[in-house]
Amino acid sequence: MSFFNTNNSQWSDKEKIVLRFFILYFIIQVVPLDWKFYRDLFSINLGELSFYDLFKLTKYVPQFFSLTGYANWGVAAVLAAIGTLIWGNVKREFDYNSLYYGLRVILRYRLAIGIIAYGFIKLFPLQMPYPSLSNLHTNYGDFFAWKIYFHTVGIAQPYEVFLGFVEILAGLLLFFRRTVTFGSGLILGFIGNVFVANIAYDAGEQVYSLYLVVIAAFLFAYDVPRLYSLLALERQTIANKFTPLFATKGIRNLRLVLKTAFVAFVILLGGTTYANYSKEPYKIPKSKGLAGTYGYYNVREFRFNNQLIPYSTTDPNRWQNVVFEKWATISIKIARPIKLDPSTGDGYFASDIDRNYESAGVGGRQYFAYTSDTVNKKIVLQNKNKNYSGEGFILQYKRLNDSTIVLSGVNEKRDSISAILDKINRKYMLFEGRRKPVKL
Amino acid sequence: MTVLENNKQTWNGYEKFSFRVAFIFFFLLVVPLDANYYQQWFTTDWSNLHIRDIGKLSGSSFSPIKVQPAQPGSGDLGSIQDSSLDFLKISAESANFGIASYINWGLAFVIGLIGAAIWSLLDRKTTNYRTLYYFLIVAVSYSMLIKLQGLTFSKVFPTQMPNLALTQLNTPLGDFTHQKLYWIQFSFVHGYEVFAGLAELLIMLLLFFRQTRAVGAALAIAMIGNIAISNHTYDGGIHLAAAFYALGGAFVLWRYLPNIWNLVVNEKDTNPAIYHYPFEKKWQKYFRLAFKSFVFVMFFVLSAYLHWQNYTYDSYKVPAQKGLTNSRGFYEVTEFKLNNKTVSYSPVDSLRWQNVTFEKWSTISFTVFNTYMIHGEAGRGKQFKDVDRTYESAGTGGGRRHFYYKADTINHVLYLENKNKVYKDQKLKLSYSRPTDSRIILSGLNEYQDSIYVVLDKKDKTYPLYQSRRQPVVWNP
Repeated sequence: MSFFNTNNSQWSDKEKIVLRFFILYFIIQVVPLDWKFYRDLFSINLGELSFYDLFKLTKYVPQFFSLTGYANWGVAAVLAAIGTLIWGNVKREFDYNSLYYGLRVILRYRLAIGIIAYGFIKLFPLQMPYPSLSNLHTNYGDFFAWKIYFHTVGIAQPYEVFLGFVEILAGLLLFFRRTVTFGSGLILGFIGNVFVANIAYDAGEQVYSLYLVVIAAFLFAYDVPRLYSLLALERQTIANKFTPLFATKGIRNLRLVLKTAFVAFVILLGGTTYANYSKEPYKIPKSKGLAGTYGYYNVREFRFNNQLIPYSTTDPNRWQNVVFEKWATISIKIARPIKLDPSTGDGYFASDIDRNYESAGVGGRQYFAYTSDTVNKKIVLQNKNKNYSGEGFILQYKRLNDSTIVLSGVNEKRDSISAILDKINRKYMLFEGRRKPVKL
Repeated sequence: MTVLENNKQTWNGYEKFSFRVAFIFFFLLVVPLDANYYQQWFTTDWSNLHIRDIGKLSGSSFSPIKVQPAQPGSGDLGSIQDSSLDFLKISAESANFGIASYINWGLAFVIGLIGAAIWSLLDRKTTNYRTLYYFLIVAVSYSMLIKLQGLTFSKVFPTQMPNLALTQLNTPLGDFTHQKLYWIQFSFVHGYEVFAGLAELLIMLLLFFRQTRAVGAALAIAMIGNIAISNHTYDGGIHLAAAFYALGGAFVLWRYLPNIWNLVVNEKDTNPAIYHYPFEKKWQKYFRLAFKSFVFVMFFVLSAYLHWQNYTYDSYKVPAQKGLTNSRGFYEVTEFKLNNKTVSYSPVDSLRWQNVTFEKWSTISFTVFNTYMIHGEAGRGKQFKDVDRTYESAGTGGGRRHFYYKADTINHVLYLENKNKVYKDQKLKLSYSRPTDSRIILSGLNEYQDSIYVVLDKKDKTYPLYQSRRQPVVWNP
């Protein structure tokens, strides 16, 4: 059958129609024809090139009339079907073997780019950062499922690095014609699993992961009849006989240029991803927190409008405990309902208040980005949850000793607040582990 | 055209020697060597089978050298069978989590080298071992699929990662071990657990048939090899059992690799010529059929049935005894008296209870601000007694205490037993009364023999974990 180039390369009429459809469908799906791609491409500021500019390009999928998700696949399929009808009336004969080969080349590189980009943000563990201290102080049931999924990988950074390594390896195998089957097979297994996990945990990349899986399946299918014959039937098996001929100098040059561009892009992507990881991981706020404050604090004493409020898990004003992160975020546990931030915190944002990975998809605590004035000992807190964007505090801070901080000031309604915080040197099961005796 | 010589009649010296090493090595790893294993076939109560029995019958391990756990329980392997043979105990810094835990593989390899040397001296006539090679591959494949049955069917019928307990929903993320977090990530997405189980079932089936063995081995390397690596990074503890699938899978796949490479990478026509024992005689055919049927009935059909039964009637990691009627819930501690003196709420009080959960089954938990020794177990295995079913509590720190209880509903008394094995002697007797549906009052002596009086009020809680982020979700304190 010619589709698999197993014993003859004659294309039946039916096969030609199917191939035409695939060619049109996949070209619509993977070749950047959407103007938004070029808007993103040309808005890149080369002076401040961030990995995310490139990463975003690797995630290209066409979007029609601001449809979302699988609906775009439907439009692509309809367009491809119409195109197939028109193509059927074209009189010219084509070399379908070469067209098919060309399609597979395009898909190989599209898939390689997509998988390598995700590989890099795991190899340099950016995609699933280690859970913040505030998140460690949040009950398991108070997270959305996707966040638990991310944190479960995030606590095992070596595992995340391993997953990234596998993805990059699979991508590199796609680079060579003869190892495509291994690369696409790996992707089918690994990203197939990611796709199912995305459904189970509602992690938000369901459509894109299936997009990659479909391409991988299409590439893998090429060798399936051969492998079936070799491994299951154990018969004499004819190898792939098609080898591309790069006949003209023009094509050879084009090939060289495209290959070089691809390699350069991968190197640039790897380099910028590493730079982001080592300098300012994009899911974590950039500004450093107040020096020496990192920790979990009990609120020993709390006054609201000068009234002492004793410990309470129900009072809507009383602070129960406070976490100072290493970066400029403070989270406070207050007994107040929270309308959760439904995003998955995966965007790239320049300003800290928008870097919401720590506060997205989680209840239990309120998260504030803060700016500090160390001369006047003043911090200004602003709620990171968009549903409460007006809320915040303006506070003076005083450090009585290494482990005690006194805060006083006002909230956004000008209610006065004062709190005495005691750092609690707490051990975490997560850090202690199972290897040695632990007392907690 | 290239014909690879998988089927050749004369092996060279190097091939023969490597085979002898591999044969002895895998023989030691795959064939149970302790008499106990074989006795079990006769001592098992076949009329009352339990998944426990089928686990014991599915194999043993080669582990004459035991690695000393660094703390009690950290060598918890659950239902994975460990050989009772025990010649030497060693201790290693990384205990049973690091490289030292592979010591028995090293030992088997050394025995393989020595054995192969002796074998080479004794056997100078044999020209090839292709028959033995065939049967060794069958043995390794079947050992892999048989040992996989428990993990497969306890996921297909989701009991390996049962539902989260209320105590887990109310425990901070930082208070779980890596191992526990790795496991419970499946405990609220059973569809995903079933999917993983079906993938393992697929591997079992592919390894079962000769035609699909190569694909089964490749999948085993990818999927269970991945599980081995995650067990290393999460200190899951069953890396050895999982790594066997990478090793065994590689061994099974080995003889197919030159063919695959030749066909796919070299793009040359390939005649596979893999040698399979022909089973020509009638008795051989019958024996093969009988053996395959036996394995299929025992480790697919019966195992599936027993796991289904377990899932339906007595999920093995969840205590069997039901909790107090309608008590399941999360409770605030409204009032707490210690030696008849009221203690008001404080997050830094080491004696006052902070919040309490009653599970669907007979477990209660509460938090205090204190430190305790943590037992190293992982909360796995098919335990008989409810107090030992610790999936809900093992690997949890942070001042949360878990007690199994027996309720005397006539005299309204709860008999509590600490589920943390370090404190297993801690037994409390608390009287209870339930003035309203949502209030429980407990009184009696605490673990330090001080009298306590605790008023608990149930709080309706919803958990974002179970809610869709596609609709507005409000978290309530």
